[in-house]
Amino acid sequence: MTTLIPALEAQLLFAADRTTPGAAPSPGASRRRARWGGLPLLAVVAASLTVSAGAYASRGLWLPQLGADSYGHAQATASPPPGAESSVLGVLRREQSDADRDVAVRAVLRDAGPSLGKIRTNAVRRLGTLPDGRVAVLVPARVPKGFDPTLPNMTQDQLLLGIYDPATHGTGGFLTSDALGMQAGDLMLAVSRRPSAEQSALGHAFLEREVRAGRLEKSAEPPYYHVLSVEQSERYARATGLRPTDPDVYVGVVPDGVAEVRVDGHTTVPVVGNFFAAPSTRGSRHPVVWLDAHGRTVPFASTIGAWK
Amino acid sequence: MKGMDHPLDRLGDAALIAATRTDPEAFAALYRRYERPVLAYFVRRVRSADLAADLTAETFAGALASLRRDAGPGGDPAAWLFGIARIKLVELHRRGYSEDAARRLLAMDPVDLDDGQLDAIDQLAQDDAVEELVSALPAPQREAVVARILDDRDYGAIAADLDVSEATVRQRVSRGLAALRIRIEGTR
Repeated sequence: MTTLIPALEAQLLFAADRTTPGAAPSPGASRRRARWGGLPLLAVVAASLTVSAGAYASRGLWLPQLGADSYGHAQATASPPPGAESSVLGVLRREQSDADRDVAVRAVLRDAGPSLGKIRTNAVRRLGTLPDGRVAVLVPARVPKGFDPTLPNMTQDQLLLGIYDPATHGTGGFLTSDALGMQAGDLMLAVSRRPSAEQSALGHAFLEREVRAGRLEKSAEPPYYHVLSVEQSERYARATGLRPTDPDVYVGVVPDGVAEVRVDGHTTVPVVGNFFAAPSTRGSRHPVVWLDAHGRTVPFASTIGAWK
Repeated sequence: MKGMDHPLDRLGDAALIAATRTDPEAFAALYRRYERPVLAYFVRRVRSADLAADLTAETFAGALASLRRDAGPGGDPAAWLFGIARIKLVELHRRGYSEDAARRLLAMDPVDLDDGQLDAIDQLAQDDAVEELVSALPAPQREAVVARILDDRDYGAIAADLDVSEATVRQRVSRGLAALRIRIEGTR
């Protein structure tokens, strides 16, 4: 059923979630108290990752609302993520928790239109809360063949990084070509602008050519999700050289073994559950660097080698 | 998969209300089910899409707040919801403005509507489908639904007028609303 005022539906869902007995702390509450320079970033991220392991381990397929009548629905699938994803992202190997099914996650899933194909709902993970209150969600999907005609060899196993903003109830997100391709340079783009409630149906989408040109313009044309990653060599170059023009936060998903991310030459942020969020440093031309637990650089190429 | 409903959308009203205790999505499903009827109820009376939307938001916020106080429907959920709507309308006429107490309680923000949404709400006022659907109900159900939902009369008073038991009136209202819901969904 399509509503005439989806923003009101979203607000009511958010209010209902916040007032449901036993519900997880609301993203909105964390937004009000968490600011840059406030709580340590690690504490903010870690707090958002509190899980009750095993809560859904023995249950059947999770059937949240996927998409909406106005733009169609993706399907839910019980198939697990392929080994290429789960073997390098520990967050996919842990069990789904209550937090992984909270209102922010469901808001992101309501953007999952038919173009995404099938969503691995039991593998959806709430990655963490950004210090400004926005919530990052990882959505594994199996997209249809020919999803992007410009990338004929693209794997059908995709990961969507979704963002939910409790301030506007807007959501956005985009796919990467696979888990290991999710580099900081890509993921920064997804949250460089704050989606509004009006944009919730479209989400945030950036065309690859816009990224190359250094312009981050929202695409109003369907399909609503554009794959930013292209051939690997270009991806590497972009991950180390391209910066959004005016980002307000960097977020990213990194493989197991990356303990910290250096974002502007000297600011280092921790990685929790394969996820990091870092404050923006405008104008920086330093590349994003992945670091292991000993502070050594983790080269992108060697990490990604498994899926060449 | 276009047109596929959320599983909650297939629950009956009473089961949906019960589900709101533990599943926030259930309240969203309740909103989806009754958004248009409630908007239509208001826009026909206040002749303003903006105001109708405002009153609708306050009605659903009030319903959610009531559920959280364990003051949900004692009987028919639709009658309960429209009862809240009628109270909001009475308060509007008494105060001269639409209150926002329930929304403030729930920390809800005002919702901005674009022209397309306002037009769609206005259209509800011009749409005779609801009246047609009500008029198509069997007479006993129609009388009961109009008296209870639109006129907000007590079951006891309706029962006395119709010379039947209160239980019979409740049954007629419930069946009438169920029939309306099926027919409304069939028109979408």
